[in-house]
Amino acid sequence: MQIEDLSTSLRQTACEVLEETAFVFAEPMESSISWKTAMIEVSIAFSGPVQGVMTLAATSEFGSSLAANFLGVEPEELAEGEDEGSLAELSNILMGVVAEQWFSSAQCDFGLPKVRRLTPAEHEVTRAAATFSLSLETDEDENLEFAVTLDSREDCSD
Amino acid sequence: MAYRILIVDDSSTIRRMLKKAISMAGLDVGIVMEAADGEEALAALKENWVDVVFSDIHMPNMSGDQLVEKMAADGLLASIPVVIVSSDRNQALRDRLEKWGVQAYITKPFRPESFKEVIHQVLEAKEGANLAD
Repeated sequence: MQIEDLSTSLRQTACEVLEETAFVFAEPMESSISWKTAMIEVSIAFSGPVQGVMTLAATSEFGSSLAANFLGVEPEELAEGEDEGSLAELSNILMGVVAEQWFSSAQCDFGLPKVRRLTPAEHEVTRAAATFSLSLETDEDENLEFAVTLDSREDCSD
Repeated sequence: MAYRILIVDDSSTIRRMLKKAISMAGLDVGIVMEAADGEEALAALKENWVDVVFSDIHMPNMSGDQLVEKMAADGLLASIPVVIVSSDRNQALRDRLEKWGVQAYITKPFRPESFKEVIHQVLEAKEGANLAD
């Protein structure tokens, strides 16, 4: 798979999973997001024919909204940390689906989601190191950004 | 009969989601216990009898597949049905878990209807096995 195919697969999967699990409708953005506030970043390392890290960045507000949709509750009924929990779960689901799409039947292991809260400047380090990134905007005007860093891609197979 | 259920996942958000999915499946649920990893689950199973275990795979300390392996090797715990709920689609892993007696493997994301169908199949099979004994 070429980088463009990996990116397309991730974008389509992200939109489908958001719609299916949380009734959130998202579309790709033409330009990258200009983050203004602190955010949550979730990273999952994967290891298969290609090794790398997939990172999802979004605001705490989006995480809370996602958690409320996942759980079918009002945002005020959420427990502390469920903004992080929902973004970690979204990343986990996406990783499972795209690992199968990217590497077909080849073995691909992926790790536990690592969650951290950081500033836009700190997130810029992740973005700068990424092999590719993509941004989505939801129908509620919330943004999500995916950054994928591949350590090696010469063995990537269909 | 009210079922006793153990949910094993390192994310409290997912445990809450699974509890909701289980209640939406129309089961007569008695006690729902929770564990954050395989180690906690084994400790809970040593103290409490449950009718079914729902477990994630990727967890710290002791993963879901390690938990299943230990349950399969235990004369008492081996008879408890285990349903894996995971985003991991690795076929080799699924084959291994099936060999250890896992009754069902639900991949995320799942639809409530398919979740409900699987739970009922697993519990009907368990009741069938109990009657045969």
